[in-house]
Amino acid sequence: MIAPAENRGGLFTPFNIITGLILVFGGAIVVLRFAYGLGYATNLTHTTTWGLWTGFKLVFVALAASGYALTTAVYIFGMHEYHPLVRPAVLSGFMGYTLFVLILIFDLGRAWRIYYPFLVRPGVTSALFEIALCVALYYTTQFVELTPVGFEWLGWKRWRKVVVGVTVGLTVFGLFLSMLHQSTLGALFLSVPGKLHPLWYSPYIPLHFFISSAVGGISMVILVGLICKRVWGHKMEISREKLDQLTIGLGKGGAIALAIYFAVKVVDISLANKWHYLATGWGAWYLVEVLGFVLLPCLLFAYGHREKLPRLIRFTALLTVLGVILNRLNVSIVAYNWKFAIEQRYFPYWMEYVVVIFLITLGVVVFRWVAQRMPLLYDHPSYKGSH
Amino acid sequence: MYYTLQNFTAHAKGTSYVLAGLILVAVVVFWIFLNKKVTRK
Repeated sequence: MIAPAENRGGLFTPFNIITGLILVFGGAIVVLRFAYGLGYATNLTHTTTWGLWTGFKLVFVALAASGYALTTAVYIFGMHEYHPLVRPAVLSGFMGYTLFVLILIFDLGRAWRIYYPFLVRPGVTSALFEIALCVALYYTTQFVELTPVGFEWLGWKRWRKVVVGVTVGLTVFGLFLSMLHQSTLGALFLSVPGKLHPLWYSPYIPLHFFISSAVGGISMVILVGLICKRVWGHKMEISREKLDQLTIGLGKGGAIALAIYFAVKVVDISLANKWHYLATGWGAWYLVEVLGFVLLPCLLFAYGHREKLPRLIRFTALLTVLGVILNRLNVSIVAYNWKFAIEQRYFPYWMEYVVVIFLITLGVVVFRWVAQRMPLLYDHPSYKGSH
Repeated sequence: MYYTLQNFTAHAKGTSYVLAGLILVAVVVFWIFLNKKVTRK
């Protein structure tokens, strides 16, 4: 039945106070945005219509790939030893897409028109329409994948049995949708070859985005597993040693994915003969991203897997996540409108940062709420070993 | 300086094919490095 939340010091714990302040302050900024318009809360202009919130939309979706990455590994590739991490990975993916939808609504405004792309005016030739449709379907898929957690908590056995029975189908559907929208988010930038710096612009940018999403997803699984063990180790059924083994295995996956990503990036530079750009200031920044946040983590993951070093793999996962964030922000903000003079360039307003922090805090609070009450990190006693 | 698209493409693709060959060799080395079992005394 419904398990009570743990009593960890009452309502006014330091965590609750800090997150509460962030949520209240951030919520106020969101209300002001809707009351006074986008110009009040952002530095967006007619020439720069996509800013920090769009950059973080790309970040949230890329890092939410933990869901499809781990469900594919477990249910399609048969790596059942990773099963204990499936539910936390899917929940972190679901929260990532929730934050994506929220920040999209904050950016676009008119939240009451969210159904327009599907029922009123579907723009079937638009990449954004495909993203909207795939994200909506995938969000629904992830929600259904998570319903067994809720059904076990509520004791609804029949509903749980129905959903568990379609898990493989949901995983295949989710993988198919993820491949579509992860790559199409990159394809959005195909229409702006003059605005995006040539080192980041490529006809293969959809492929870059898809591969880096897989990389980000694997790294997020490692980090989510670490955080869950640190905070709720007493609830997790797998031991620290078992988690270390799984981390080492995920490190191998991360190394392979990063190696593929690095190779694709290098061949892309060669095919368009962009070598001369590497000798510029932009090239130096590009090399920081590719060498420091792609090649280096690839080698560290490989070394950590080979030498069985879970701590190194966890550090490398953090480095990789930062690399994915850097790549998305470079494509959407830093290297975008790169030809503009410095006085015309976009720099985010402080309220934009506050809203991003507000959303990340909201994601953490919801994840924590679910992990403390529902069978997320352990098998429910009534269903031990049955899923 | 490449005055025709054909010259540019020939150069770019030629470089890319050489690079792809090197990457194939690197993949084999990387795979061996990744999977070699380390025996500790």
